[in-house]
Amino acid sequence: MTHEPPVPDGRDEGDVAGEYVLGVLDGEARARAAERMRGDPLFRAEVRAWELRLAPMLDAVAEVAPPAGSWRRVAASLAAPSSVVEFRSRPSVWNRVEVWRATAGGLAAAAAGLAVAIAIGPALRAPPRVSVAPPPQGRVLTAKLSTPGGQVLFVAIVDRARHGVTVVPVGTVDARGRSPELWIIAAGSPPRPVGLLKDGQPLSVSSAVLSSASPQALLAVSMEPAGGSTTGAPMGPVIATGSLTAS
Amino acid sequence: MDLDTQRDELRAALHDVGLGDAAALKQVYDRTSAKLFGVCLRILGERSEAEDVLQEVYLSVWRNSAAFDPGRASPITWLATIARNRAIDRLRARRPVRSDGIDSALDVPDPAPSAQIRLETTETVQRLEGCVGELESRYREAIRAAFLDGHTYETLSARAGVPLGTMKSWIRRSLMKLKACMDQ
Repeated sequence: MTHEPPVPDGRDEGDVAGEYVLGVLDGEARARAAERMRGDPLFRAEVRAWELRLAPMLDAVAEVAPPAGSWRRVAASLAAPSSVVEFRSRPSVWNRVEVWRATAGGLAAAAAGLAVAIAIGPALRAPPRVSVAPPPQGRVLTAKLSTPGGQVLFVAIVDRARHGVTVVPVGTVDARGRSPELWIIAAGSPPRPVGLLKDGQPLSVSSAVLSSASPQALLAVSMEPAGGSTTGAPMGPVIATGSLTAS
Repeated sequence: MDLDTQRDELRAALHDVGLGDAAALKQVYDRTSAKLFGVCLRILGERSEAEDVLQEVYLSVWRNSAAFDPGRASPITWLATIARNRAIDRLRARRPVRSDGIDSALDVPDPAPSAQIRLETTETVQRLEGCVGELESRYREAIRAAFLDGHTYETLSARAGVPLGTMKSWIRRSLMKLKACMDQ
């Protein structure tokens, strides 16, 4: 291009992609540009080009530590059904569940074709270690375990076909020497112990427990004396509960 | 950590996020959240709103991370761009339009003390800086206030005390010059 482009003035249309990326458009003009983003591939490409041109300006923006608890909010929202059902069938992720199962020493249960692996992050705090088994259709159950006040503390994902359960700590639990224990409560039945939520330790459980894992069954976490309940029923306070639902 | 290593690790983490690995998302969060929160806060000037946007960004990464093209130069630039876009959307949805200028937006607390994550190579940043630096100072100031603080034509013209049409001319001229300079 050898000729000088006309200098735009306030009345003419400018480089709308550039204006859109710069952010100066408001109201109807911005809405029109957003609409073009959806329907006009050429415009979309221009917008991308402008984003790449201008983004280095963001390099100068100072970092600011987000408020404490931000990650917990993010982690809690990951468990919303719309995201939990977005499993991706990749063996690399599934392999981790296999590893847990193997290291759990739960070979007998595995041989019986049923094992549950539970992984809990360090000291029951974020970062949660999530491994999501690839999903056969309709075999995945999830539960958000919340406090009575509604704060989500754990997210459980049960894949019955793959015999995998993942429990993700979302909130911070101050164990104070007590052992958080997971229970499953099928309709009309007393709580069955699933296992202790230990720091990074996987565990396996019996097929009888897994067979209770149906939609509407309740999961609960109670704080038990070190080593867990000795009576087979929750002794300590229940800190979080949630129903299993089919994904 | 050098920029290439940082990018490679972020790319790998984003790849794992695409496989449904939330631990990888936590890794991405740990690396990038201070930068992204800084961007959101600069535009929105309000911590709770900035935090809302921050949450939306990571959630959208979790749900659509396939949208990250590994061929793109910088994953952190990609994330910062998403954060900025969403913060602008949020700002535009807010009424009335903020008219108190740049000062309140700059009144942000507690910059993270740690080493700043880098978006781009020094050359890329300097290239844009050079091109912005060639603009007249009042144009330069308007471009920065728009991009970094989320000002519109309307609020820019009010701040600068010039008619709306004049501000539009300034910005459009500036965009033309920037494009020519950057695409050289």
